Amino acid sequence: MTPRHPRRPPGWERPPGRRSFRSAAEAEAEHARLIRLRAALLFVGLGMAFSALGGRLVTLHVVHARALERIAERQQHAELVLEPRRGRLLDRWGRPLAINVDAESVYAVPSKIGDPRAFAQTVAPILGVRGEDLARRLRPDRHFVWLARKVPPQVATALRARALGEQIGFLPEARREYPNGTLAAHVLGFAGIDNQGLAGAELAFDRHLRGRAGLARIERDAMGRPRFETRTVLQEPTDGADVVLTIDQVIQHIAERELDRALAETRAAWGTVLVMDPENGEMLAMAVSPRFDPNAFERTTPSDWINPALSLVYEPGSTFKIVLAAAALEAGVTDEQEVFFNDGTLRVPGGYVIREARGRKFPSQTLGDIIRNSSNVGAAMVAARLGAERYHAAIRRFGFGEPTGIDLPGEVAGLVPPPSQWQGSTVHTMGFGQGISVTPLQILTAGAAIARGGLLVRPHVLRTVRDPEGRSLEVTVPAPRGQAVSPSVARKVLAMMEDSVRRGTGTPARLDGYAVAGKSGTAQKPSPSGGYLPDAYVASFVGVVPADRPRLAILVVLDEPKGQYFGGVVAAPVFRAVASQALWHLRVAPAVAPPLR
Amino acid sequence: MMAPERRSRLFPVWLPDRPPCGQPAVRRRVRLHPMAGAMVMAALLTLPALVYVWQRAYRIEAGYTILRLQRDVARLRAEHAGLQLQVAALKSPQRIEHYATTELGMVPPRQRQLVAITVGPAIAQVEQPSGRRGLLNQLAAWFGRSEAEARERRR
Repeated sequence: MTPRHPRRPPGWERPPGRRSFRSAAEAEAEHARLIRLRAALLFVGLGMAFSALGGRLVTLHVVHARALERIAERQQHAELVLEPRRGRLLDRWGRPLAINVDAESVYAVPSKIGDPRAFAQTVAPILGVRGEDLARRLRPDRHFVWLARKVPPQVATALRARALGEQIGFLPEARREYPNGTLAAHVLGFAGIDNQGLAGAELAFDRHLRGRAGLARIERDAMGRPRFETRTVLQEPTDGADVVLTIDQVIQHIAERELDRALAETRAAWGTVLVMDPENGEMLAMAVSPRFDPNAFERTTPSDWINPALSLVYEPGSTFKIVLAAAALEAGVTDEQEVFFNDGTLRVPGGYVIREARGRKFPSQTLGDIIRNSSNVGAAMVAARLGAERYHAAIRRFGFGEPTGIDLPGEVAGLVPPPSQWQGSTVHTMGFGQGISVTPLQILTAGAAIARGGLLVRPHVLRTVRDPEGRSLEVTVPAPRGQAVSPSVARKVLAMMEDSVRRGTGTPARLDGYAVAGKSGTAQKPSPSGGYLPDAYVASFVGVVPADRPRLAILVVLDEPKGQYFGGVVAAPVFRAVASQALWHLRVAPAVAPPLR
Repeated sequence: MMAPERRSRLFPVWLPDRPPCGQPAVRRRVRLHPMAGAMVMAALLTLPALVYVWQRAYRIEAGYTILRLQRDVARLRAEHAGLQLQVAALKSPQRIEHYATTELGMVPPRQRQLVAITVGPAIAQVEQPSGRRGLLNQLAAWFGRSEAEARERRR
């Protein structure tokens, strides 16, 4: 049997302080006691450790539970707003007029910035702002301050190169871009910094364009990165729909180019060219000059954003004679054969004398001659015979004195005083378009109604609304506003307008191969202090082409042209230039072959 | 040195039937070694945990991959939008007109350059395809060919 303890070597001595056992049993007992002691110590130690852990658990899960839960919630969970993409604005053929591009916005974390002044001095020159203003905004108790929204890529790159660490951050956002610059700026309007429509079509169709933001809940890892697998979409985002306008980009360009040219030649203050399809009221072009760049609208003033075609009023002058002629024929107070005699002047109540422009005299003329010659005296005689009540009713039937209902913001109603407010000579002056205020769009709509057989249509710029997949959600259906005059009367007035272009004041609007019906107008501008301004006129021309099967109704208005100021001289050539190119673009074949040279 | 030859074959041996003792045969219990048992138990407990951890790690990794791909998609979308903007700007009528008139020496067309061609009676009298379909075409419309193709006349 092997001894329990090995034999001690010779010379072995017990180390000092160690017990010696008298017997193996005693040693065994001592050993067992030691084991029990160690085990007890271990259990006590473990017990204390577990108690401490338990205590800590209780502290964490019971005592500080609420506060810690809030902290964990804040650090681990995040609610993400899923931004929708704003829809595009397209022209009638799907060419983009307003689209989105990605841009970066820059923010600062002031709580991480040690020296706001030094930080501002570094960042301000890149952002193009004043360092003092920036430093003032960087209060250390704040955790987020926008530095700049939607900055160009080179600015973001320059800021990144400064290696500012946690002091600065970048957020991707969508920026609205208008690739054609100033083209159709007054129609398109613009969207604000948060992609909300602020003017023009951007504002009018904002409910289609903006889409609906979604919401998702997501957990973050220890590094703050979102953990995709934990994402719960609470609400799906819906991208904005594309809005297809009735505007034709090419016709818009033609109209703007010709208008700019006319403004340069006549040195007019402003001008507008409106092109409409008289059949359905679709606006093919709304040119305004001067224009602004919607890409940098913040550098312009709000007065630059006003669309004069629908927001400014003017006295229409002789273009209004077509309304008078239609009203007189409709009321039956005259016909095409009746001859009006005068000596070139007409004395009206109040002691005023109405004369022909440029000292001309038309001793005898029919209603057609009055339109062709643009006779003020003749128009005043017809208006007097028609009477205030009937004339006013006819004016209202043509839609004057109320907005046309175009789907763009900012349209005004114009000013048509009721007959009770008309003075002695008002009915006479209103016969040739003085004493009444209209918008250019109202005159165009009236001209289109004559071309459309007397039916007044609602002008509009919205063609369709398409969802991101290209399906049509909404289509604009032409909405007639009522019959202004009977078709037979409209035909007669259209023939008079055609005659006016063929051999009257509108001859500069003639087009080879196409029958043009139109009427020129030259109106004095009213003075704010009463009466009319000397040497301040509004020249205009309204016409339809081809007169036999109208495809285009066009209005040209030039405000305060210098030098030549007659509508037939300065506005009619613009009509001609726009109409000829637009007809080419629309592939409208001439009814009569133009002479070959 | 001598060694017994290893038996490579077993030969059947007829044994006498066991006499019936009236008690069912006692099945011998297979006793597993305690260490092996512990190992099996540990494996049974650990394996699902490992699978769970692996799945979870894989899920997180897939989440990061999706995030990375989403960033790529966003970057490509941004690039696409930028290119769209560039294309739209390049196709702008002002730019094309400016380029055509200044660089290429082109001029806007004049009204006189448009020639109206009168369609003569010979062209007007060209036989138009009739709307009626033959039996062959009707069958073809049913089998394979489209309606539009089926209406086309053979030339």
